[in-house]
Amino acid sequence: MESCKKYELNITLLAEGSLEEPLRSETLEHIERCESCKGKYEQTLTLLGLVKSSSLPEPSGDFLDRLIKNVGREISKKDNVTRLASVRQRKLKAFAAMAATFAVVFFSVFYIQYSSRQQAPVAELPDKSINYEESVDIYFEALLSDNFVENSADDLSFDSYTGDTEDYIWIEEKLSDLESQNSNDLLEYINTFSEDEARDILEELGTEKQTSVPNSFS
Amino acid sequence: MDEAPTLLEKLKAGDHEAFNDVIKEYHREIYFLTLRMVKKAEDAEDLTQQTFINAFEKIGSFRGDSSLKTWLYQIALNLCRTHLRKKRVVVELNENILNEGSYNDSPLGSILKTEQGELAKAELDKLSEKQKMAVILRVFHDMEYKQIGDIIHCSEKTAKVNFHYGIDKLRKKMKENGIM
Repeated sequence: MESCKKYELNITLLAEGSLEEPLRSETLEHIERCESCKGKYEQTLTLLGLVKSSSLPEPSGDFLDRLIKNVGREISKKDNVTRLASVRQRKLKAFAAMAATFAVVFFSVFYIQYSSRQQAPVAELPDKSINYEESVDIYFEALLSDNFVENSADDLSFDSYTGDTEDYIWIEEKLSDLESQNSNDLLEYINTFSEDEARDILEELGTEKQTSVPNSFS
Repeated sequence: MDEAPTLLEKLKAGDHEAFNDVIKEYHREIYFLTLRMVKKAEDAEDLTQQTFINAFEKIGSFRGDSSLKTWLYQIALNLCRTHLRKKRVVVELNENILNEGSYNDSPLGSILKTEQGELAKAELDKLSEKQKMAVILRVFHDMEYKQIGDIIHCSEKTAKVNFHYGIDKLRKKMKENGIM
């Protein structure tokens, strides 16, 4: 007897109208011969009709006007903040450049004078580690920046997670989604999340896998 | 001769008129999509607004590999998932939806059909997230399976399978309830 199992998916697709030839004819022929599948096909047609018949309330009358106004206001507000931040950043950069130049000159002179008198002791290497919050922030900014090119989705694996919070499954699903993206898609993909959500994901990652922060940022 | 800038170029340049055109074009679809996910009209309006705000903030990183509509749907559904997760919203039949919906004319037949339809809708809410999204996007938004796959981050084939399992579960539930 012909197996009905292989027609299950096709029957659903036939009922909703997306099954293409030659599968369409093949499935129709099977339905004609098989009462059980014919029943499923008819039930699926009825079900789709029922689901479609359930309607939803329209948005309130002034929804579009409010939407345009509110979105415009939010965008303008953020534009202004960005512009201010950018001005501040430029000033800060200029100040930092001046300070750095001054420091280099000062220390060079000091070093030359000092080393001419005695041999310099071996300098202790500064601690280059950064704390976790900084890692997450820097990593997040890196993801959102146009310069983010080389980090791969592999860095976002979550296999070492040992926590027992109820968020585990949710995070795992997000990570699986992330891992399914290739690195070129990652930036666009992560931008479809809200900032809070992206931070949640990255913070959870950072807790367990601080090493996943790209080396260039640490 | 210079070509006229495309909609995407205008959006990336911060053209507010272009933003407004996008809102006018897609606000109803996004509203109904979010309403089907979160059930409360007020929340759906807020999520619709947030969808456009997020989209316009991040338009610079949108490369246009998928359509603008698909991208907006992705943003809206991510917001819905965050909303449902954070608020721990219990998805129940909203009385307002039952009472305010505009239904077909004929009295008894349409009442029965409406009740059955509402039962189907209640069962739809119990499906897994991906199955529910596949059914909603296909049945109510006429999306191609390729687009559905892009939105729920899976292949076209997996989108079809999610749709099938969702519909099959609904069919079995309706049968158990003696509707079919």
